[in-house]
Amino acid sequence: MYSEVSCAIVSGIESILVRAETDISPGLPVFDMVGFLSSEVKEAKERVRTALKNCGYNLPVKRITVNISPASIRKTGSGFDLPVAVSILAATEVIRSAQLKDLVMVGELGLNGGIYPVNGVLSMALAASECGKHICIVPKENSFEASLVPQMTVVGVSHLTEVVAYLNEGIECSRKRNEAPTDEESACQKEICAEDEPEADFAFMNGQKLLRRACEVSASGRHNLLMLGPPGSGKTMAAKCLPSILPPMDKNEQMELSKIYSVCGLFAERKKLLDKRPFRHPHHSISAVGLVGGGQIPHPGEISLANGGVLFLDELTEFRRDTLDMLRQPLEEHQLTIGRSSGSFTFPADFVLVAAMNPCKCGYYPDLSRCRCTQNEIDRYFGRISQPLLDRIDICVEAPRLNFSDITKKADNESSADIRKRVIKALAMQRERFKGTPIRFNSGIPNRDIPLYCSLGKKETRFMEEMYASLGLTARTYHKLLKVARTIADLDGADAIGLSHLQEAVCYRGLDSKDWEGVA
Amino acid sequence: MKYRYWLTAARGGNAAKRKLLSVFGSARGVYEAKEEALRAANAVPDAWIDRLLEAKRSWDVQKEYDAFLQKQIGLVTLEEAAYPALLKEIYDAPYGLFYRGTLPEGCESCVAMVGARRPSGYGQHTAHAIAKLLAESGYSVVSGLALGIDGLSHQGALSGGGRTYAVLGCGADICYPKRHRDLYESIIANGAVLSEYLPGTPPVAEHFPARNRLISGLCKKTIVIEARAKSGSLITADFALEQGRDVYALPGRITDPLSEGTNRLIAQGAAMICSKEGLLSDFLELPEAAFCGDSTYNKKKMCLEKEELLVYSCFDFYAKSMDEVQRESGLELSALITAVSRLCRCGLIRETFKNHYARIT
Repeated sequence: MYSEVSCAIVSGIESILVRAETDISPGLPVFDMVGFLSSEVKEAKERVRTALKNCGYNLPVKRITVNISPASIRKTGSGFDLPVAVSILAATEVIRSAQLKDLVMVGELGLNGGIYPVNGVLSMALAASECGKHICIVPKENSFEASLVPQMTVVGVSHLTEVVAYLNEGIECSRKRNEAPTDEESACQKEICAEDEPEADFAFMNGQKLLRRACEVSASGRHNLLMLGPPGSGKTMAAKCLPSILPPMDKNEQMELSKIYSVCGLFAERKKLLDKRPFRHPHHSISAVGLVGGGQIPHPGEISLANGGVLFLDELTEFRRDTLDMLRQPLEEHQLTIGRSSGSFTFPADFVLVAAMNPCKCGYYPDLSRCRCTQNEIDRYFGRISQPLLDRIDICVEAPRLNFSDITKKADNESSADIRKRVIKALAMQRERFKGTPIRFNSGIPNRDIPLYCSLGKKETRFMEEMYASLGLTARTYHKLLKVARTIADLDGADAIGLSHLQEAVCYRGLDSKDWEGVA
Repeated sequence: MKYRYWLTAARGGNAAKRKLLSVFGSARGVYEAKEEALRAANAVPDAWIDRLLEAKRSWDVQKEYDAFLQKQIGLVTLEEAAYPALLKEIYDAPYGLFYRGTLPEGCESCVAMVGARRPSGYGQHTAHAIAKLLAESGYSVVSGLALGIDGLSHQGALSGGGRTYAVLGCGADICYPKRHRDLYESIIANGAVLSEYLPGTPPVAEHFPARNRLISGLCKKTIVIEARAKSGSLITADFALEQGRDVYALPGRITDPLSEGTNRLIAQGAAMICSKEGLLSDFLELPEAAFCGDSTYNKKKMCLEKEELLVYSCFDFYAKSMDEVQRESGLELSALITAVSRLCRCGLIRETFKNHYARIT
């Protein structure tokens, strides 16, 4: 007898539908699995055999061949157990094959027949829906994830017998069609939101006026930001607040981000799409693969998990240089393409890079009464930052040590919501300006278009000419400065870049080694 | 000359070399003296003489001297008139002095300037200004080519069109620190770099205190710009006092760590620098009134607007961060940025570090 069941594998963050076929024919009793399988998929044989036995189904004493096709794609992951088991059951006519046509199923089997969650269910369900399959059988823990796909009927199962019961008798343990959530559900969702960590808000941040403003400019033009300051000056706090002033994510962005989290197994038992912009802060010991993604079977890295949000690199100088250099391509292209012999994988990586570092080894540098670093130590410290990475950071700002009154005073600081309104306005101006071009934000203006978008008046040109000489700017730093000035003008609602915008942009200009020479 | 090079290169104290010289008259005399004669002279310990004899045996005087000539480095010894007269006076004056450039002439009056390697903005500005003023008034500036005050003093002297000398703690053919390569070359063109160490000697920490005695030894007056409580500059000041030279110190606020050393020097009796002009009049023994104040500052200040004056008054010679000034002035950030930008353009303040500004005058 022959049977066929659809299942899916994750490739990058997208999924591909594949078929698990079973044929049972007379011959010596062998259980063979073929189809370019990785070792965890080969092991499915033992799990399936035992699970079937423990559920009371005996394998026929015949030759059983399982093929997962197409055979050209390497099969990885533990989600094949359930489809293989079901296709064997269909081939032995325990389950009627006709039932299996519109179905896609994934799940890992335990030896007792229990079904355990797998990664990437959201991505698989999306792929299924694109291929016209409208029913998904998924592990119970993954059922919410799958039900986020519109028009998808999701059957969450926790035991093999439940699957058989559903397929033969239509008995459902928990079936979910994607409908508007009932009152009870939305109440439950709200509860979950409340359980989330309260979002950082600029209202709780005292002092640091320049840093606050720099964050606003950074969010408005998607400029990468570098914060420089002694320990405990609020750099991490500011970075955490940054996602709260980015505009809310739209449905597409939410879906894409949720997909990445699902593939990485980070979706957990969330009851909705991820709707908050991500804030990722990997520890500086992270490997290059952990940061940008990769591996033999490429999986997304931190930069993809920060897609649409903020990637915060605290203690920038402590990161390995080659790790940071891996960020160069994704920072330019907002995505990362990883080539492997099995094909090339593209991961989205559209994030704002926020980095923080101390000004020197001890952290107190221009305060000479506390800093004891020698000039050599300072030179070495600065030498550790990768210049190509610095070149991709538009805004650099100092976060000075707070004094007592700043810490204790109960100022009514502007809240993130208010700042966000201005940011959204500035982004709207950019959308209008870049209509019909591939440019999305000011930070992405290519150098050849700078005269078009960042033209200066006579007075402003003269100012920049002076600055060019006195600050020792280069063509690149000059262009960066103009882009930042453009964003500041957008925040101001101004069509032309004015003198005050340029002056502010000069305050945010990038670091260079000279900063450490002219001691305070 | 080759014997002089031999004696300079021979290991041993300068005092011993001087004694031998007084007995045998010249380096050649020392070289050609018999072992018995050397021992009989009873000028120096026997161990030293053994070393000297060893130096005589292992050295091919002519060959080594030819190799030295290839290096284009000058050598002046106590036996020559070109040897700086003031240096001759000091205890432990080196027998030979290597140099690149031209040595100070007899009539030239030199002033030593030393200070912290990482000075404050106040120290930086004052060092440069004083060195420039001294150069303009015909003084030469002697310092140590180190980062910070040393380098700025050399630069100040050069920008004042004067001559300047750098005493190194390594061979005269080595530029240390490397960052001062440009400065090193311009000092050679407008003065000299001097060293008591053989060409090729690497910069070693213990050389530096020793070279400090040459910095003060070359000059009648030593100025200490900024020094922490335990600073190498204070060693120079001590040498200057030992050598019977005058020490001037730049005062600072008692709370500034960089002025701790200089303030203590003043307390111990060093002359206090009250103003650049006062310093110069002291040097030239002229009444202070002969110099008029810095008028450019007042002129620059005239063109400021009210808000900028307010911001300017918040700044100090010690760098302050933008946030600090914002807090003090109470201005809006955008207005503050405009004012700061204007002040920078006027040359009244400058950015010393990322978003930190200090007054220049």
